[in-house]
Amino acid sequence: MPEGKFCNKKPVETEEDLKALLGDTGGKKYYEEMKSLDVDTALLWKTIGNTLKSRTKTWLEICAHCGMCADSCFLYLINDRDPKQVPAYKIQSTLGEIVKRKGKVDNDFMHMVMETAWAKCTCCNRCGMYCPHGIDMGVMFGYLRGLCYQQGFVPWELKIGAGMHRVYRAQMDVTGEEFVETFKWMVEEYEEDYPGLEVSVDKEDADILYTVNAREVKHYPEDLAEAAILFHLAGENWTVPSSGWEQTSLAMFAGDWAACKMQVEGVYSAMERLKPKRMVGTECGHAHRATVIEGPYWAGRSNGKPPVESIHYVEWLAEALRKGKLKIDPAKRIKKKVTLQDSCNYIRNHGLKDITREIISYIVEPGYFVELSPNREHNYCCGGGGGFNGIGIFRPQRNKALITKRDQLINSGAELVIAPCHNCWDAIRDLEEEYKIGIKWSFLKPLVISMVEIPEHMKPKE
Amino acid sequence: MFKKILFATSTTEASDHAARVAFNMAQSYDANICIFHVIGVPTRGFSQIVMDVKTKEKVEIDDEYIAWVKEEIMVYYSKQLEKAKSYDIKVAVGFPHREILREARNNSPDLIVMGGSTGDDEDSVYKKSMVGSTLQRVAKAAPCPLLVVNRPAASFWGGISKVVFGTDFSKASDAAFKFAVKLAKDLGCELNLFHALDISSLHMGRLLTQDEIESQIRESLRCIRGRYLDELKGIKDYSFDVWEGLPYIEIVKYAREKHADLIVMAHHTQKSSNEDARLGSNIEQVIVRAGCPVISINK
Repeated sequence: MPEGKFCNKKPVETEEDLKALLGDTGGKKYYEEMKSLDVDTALLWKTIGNTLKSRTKTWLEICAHCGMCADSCFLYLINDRDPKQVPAYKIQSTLGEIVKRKGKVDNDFMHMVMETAWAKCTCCNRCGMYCPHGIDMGVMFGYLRGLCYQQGFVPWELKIGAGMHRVYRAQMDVTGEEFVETFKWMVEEYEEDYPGLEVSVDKEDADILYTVNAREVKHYPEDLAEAAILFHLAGENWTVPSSGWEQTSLAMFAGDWAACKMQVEGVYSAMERLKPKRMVGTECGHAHRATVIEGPYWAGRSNGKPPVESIHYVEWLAEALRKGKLKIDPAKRIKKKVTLQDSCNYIRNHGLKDITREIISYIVEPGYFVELSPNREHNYCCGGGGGFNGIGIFRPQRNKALITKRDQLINSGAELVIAPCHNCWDAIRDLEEEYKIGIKWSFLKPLVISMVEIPEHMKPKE
Repeated sequence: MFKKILFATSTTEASDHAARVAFNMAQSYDANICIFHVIGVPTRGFSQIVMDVKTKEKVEIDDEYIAWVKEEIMVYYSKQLEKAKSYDIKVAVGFPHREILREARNNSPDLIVMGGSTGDDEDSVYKKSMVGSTLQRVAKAAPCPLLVVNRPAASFWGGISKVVFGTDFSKASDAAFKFAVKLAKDLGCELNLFHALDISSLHMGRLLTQDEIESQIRESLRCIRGRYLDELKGIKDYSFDVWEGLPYIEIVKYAREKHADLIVMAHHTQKSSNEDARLGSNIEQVIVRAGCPVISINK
């Protein structure tokens, strides 16, 4: 059977198809069908011919097999230094082999490739820093995922996730109306505590256009309220778009390049429509990577930048604290041992390591902050990056991967870890559930709200 | 006055006393009762897996599972449902407080009924990602009155005949007062207005003389009459009292003394409590301790 009902080479384009695929609980039939899915070797080779450019070609060829990347990979370390977990081996035995065989690979091979691409690499890009040639296996795995997606060899949840973006332009089934309604609901819920709190939708020429993660809307809308409260207290002129509000991209994790482009173009068109001075995204790592770092290239923007200056939440927050738009009550600063999780996607990949530490200097009582080891651009992935967190069939591998972060946290002695990234936040939540080390975890927003000074005129009367 | 009751339940023993009250009320007042249960808390990043709040198992939610959970709820409340005239069973996936508030926002019930704390330890699914209890969060933001039955003693309830309204003279208390008056008029019951003079913390450890206390009680009595008397027309039985002490203890004692079958109070703590605060405010303490149901009003 070449193409299955659920598992096939076609992307999910309609709500109906999405529901049908979701109805295949756990992807049972999906993975069953995958066992007999044909590989379109001609298409695979043609795609490689069109998309495998000089950088990747060079990387595949110049790898000296020196093994320097081995120790850089937390999955290699945590899996008893299994040689099959050496980054160079992982990419050479998959992408390298497909290229060598001119695309002539079979179903079994593609199964192996899928597992390697999603369960043996989180695209954290740490290996690229240690390779003497600067070969970045994470980047290549991102590319390889695209080939897998095209052939239909993609984990069930990510086929759904990419489909969500195609159908809803969001990673979950949240419509633009639901987004606006939820934001308004949250503002109503908190306006008594913060008189004058409001959210403007589709306001043109605002200073800030705020974009979010659909999960905030769906499951923890308090996050939207917290964002509104901090913008309000900082006196910002801000708005949210009624469409193009979703900053994340499961399509990127899935390797669905076309959906990546569609998703990010929606956000860019909101920028062009509303002409804000800047875009600020929520506390999410991969969303920043998708919309700010990689997105411009997906959308074919020649300057490699989004239509307006786009910054991560930590950049806005650091600036607001630095300029005194938000003032911290020194008595309320964190006075317990606290550490910081560096999100690969905007620390290693976008250089924001000092910004997050600047925030720490404002909100933590001196003497209470401890670094993880290693940290900053050398930090390890949370263990759940690149889509790893959500993939059911690779759960055992993911849980093992969490051990790296678990031990880093235990060794730091911290009681609380600040994780300004949805993926890291989830992974740490899961590792606490799995291993019960007694760690607490938080985004920045609720912490800052608990210690920010509220100007007299903004306090509720009575 | 109670035509739509939203009964938010964990479908466990913790909600049994609240169930008795909720079904009783629905029957007494010909109300529709919506039995609302949050199946599970989302987990695992963007995956479809949720943690079932009852079994604590990781499950994948699909139509079949939802149908099974609804069936379980039907069985759990089969006795009560036999007599119920109009009811719905709804289930949702998400964080319980948020889903209860979402349901309340979408369907505008006249009253939300909840049990007290599930009494779960650290291992509770409810406490996995969010600090503070479901009850606190719903009480803070509910768009309608919230009736809480925390203790078994509070649930033996054959209709409302005696209501205690506790006030601290705040604006929020005025809103709660309006509701208490409407309730007393509509249901024809006795309304006992009460204020507790807080002598525990106000004076920074200085002992008040008995003369000072009594003078303040007289002052508070003038205040409680002045503020509310005009609005009580049409209510046959009412009384005003001011006692001194620890407010929540005095209210609970007063309600017991009056054989009250309902306490009405305002909920107006400024912020949802942080992780270190236990049930902090007076109303939360009253909810925990009262021998009758407590209605909390926040706006």
